[in-house]
Amino acid sequence: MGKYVLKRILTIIPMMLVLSFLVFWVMSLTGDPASTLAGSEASAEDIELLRESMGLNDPLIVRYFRYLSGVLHGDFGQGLYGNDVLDEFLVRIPYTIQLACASMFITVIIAIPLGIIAAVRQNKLTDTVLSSIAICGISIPGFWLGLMLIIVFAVQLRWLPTSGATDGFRSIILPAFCAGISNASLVMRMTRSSMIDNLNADFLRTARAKGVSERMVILKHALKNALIPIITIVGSQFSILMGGTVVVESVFAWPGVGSYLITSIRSNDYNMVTGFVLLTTVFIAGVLLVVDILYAFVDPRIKARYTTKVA
Amino acid sequence: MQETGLTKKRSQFGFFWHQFKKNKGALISLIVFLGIVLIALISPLVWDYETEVIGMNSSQRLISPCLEHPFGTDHMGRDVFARVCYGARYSLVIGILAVLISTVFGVFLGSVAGFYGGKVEWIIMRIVEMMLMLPSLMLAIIIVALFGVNLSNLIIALGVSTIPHFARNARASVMTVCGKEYIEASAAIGEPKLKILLKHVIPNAMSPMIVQATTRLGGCIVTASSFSFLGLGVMAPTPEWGAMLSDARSYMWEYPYLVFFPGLAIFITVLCINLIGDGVRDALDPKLKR
Repeated sequence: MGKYVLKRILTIIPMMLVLSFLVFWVMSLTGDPASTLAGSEASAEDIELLRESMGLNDPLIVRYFRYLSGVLHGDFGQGLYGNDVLDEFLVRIPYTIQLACASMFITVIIAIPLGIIAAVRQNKLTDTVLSSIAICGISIPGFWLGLMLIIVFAVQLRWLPTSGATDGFRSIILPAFCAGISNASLVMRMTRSSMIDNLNADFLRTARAKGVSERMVILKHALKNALIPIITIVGSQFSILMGGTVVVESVFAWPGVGSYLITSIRSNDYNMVTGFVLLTTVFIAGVLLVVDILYAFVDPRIKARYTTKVA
Repeated sequence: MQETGLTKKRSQFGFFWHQFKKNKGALISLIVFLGIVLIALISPLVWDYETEVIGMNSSQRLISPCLEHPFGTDHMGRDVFARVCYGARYSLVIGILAVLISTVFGVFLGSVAGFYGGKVEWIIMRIVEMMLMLPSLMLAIIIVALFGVNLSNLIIALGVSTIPHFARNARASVMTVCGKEYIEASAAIGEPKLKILLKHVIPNAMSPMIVQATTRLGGCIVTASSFSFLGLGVMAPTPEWGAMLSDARSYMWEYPYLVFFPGLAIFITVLCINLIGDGVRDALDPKLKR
């Protein structure tokens, strides 16, 4: 297993390097940071001087390696207003992680049990109702749901705050629900079909035949096997969730990475956008790596395949 | 699919339609969806774009829903019903074109990778993996930031950002088909490789792609409207649903109907597409039906 983990880490490093170059290159095409920084009243000479002093006239590859060496020393440069990119990111990432984890939590505690219930009651009324809710959940735009929930729960009923993260636990309920709804619906559908596959499997007939109680059959024998694809989905959804929070963060003025990224794009804050995209990607790659490794531990088949291959 | 792959094209569609019809939800959704397409087509004939859809009409500002204005009017005095109907044009065109881009390029890259293997596959799949490391929404945001905010860039951004997902699925699907005996048989009678790929492999590997394209269409419409909502897509005063929501946000406390109807339009459209997608999936692959 140690070798597996090492191999995964080693394949990620060159990919991160290439990706960072691509992001850097693409971002360098988006516009001229010098003229943005100099403002609209600066003369052509002023801008040229600024370009020279910022090193923007150097070839792309030189600029990239200068940036990369900065990055490896923990220096992602500064934004338009002189604020440090890494500092801004580190201030905001906990909020985004909070939001992603809270919606993940909703997904796991609501979607998986509902998926199991729907599978057990397959083609009965409960299943029809739950499946209909799931397809609505996939189809509903998260930001619209957010606005509607703000109107109902924050404005009409005044139960929850309208926006921001200042109200502790109460302020995360609505954003987490909106960010998680489509995910939760997807996981529910997945759980349902994965459970149905397993409920019809031969080993369950054996379990029933030897007199195992129905409850144990479902929870122990079927669920344990159904969980493997569910874990993969939940893991890979994390990256989608991190992207999806961009919109929800903007609706709820949640002070996370996503809403700041949008603000930076709008103000052409070149360094900030490059840094944020890179840092988010590294973060997600790390999360996916951990999920992959956990997955190998959960699924004995992968573990076995790998140990025989290595040994 | 195996049985249908061997019969004539028309009967293949006939078989598909026969299966699809059985799913009442999907059938109703298809009818509603065609209705939405019809609305999109005829709305320019019903309303004048310059005066009624984007023009200012200060005497009619912020009227709550009534008989004359079923969805009310907005802060510029424009009829929300007219704008929502007109908005269907934008969402459908953006969604369909974006999905077309990702399907064509994704299927091309994926099938080349899956069919030829070797170095070509290695390079394509590394690129795909790299693109998958960026969340697709973020990739789309970078593209929009790069080329500027407008309709065509939004379509390109949405299309390109989902290419890797299509490529990965297409590759898997092509590889399954490549293992079949009839492919071996074509190779044995000496058909050229390109002909095998175009004539035998891709048509037989298409059904998961069709299902994925249908599902992605819904996703693309939601993403497109959220981009416009964030100010990174279609801009006001264009009656795109996301842009309308963004516009209406400052008035939502007093006039909640302004945010209700455009969002409901997105929801119903996407719901129909997803239900159709489920129906298509079940009809194309009865084995998956449950």
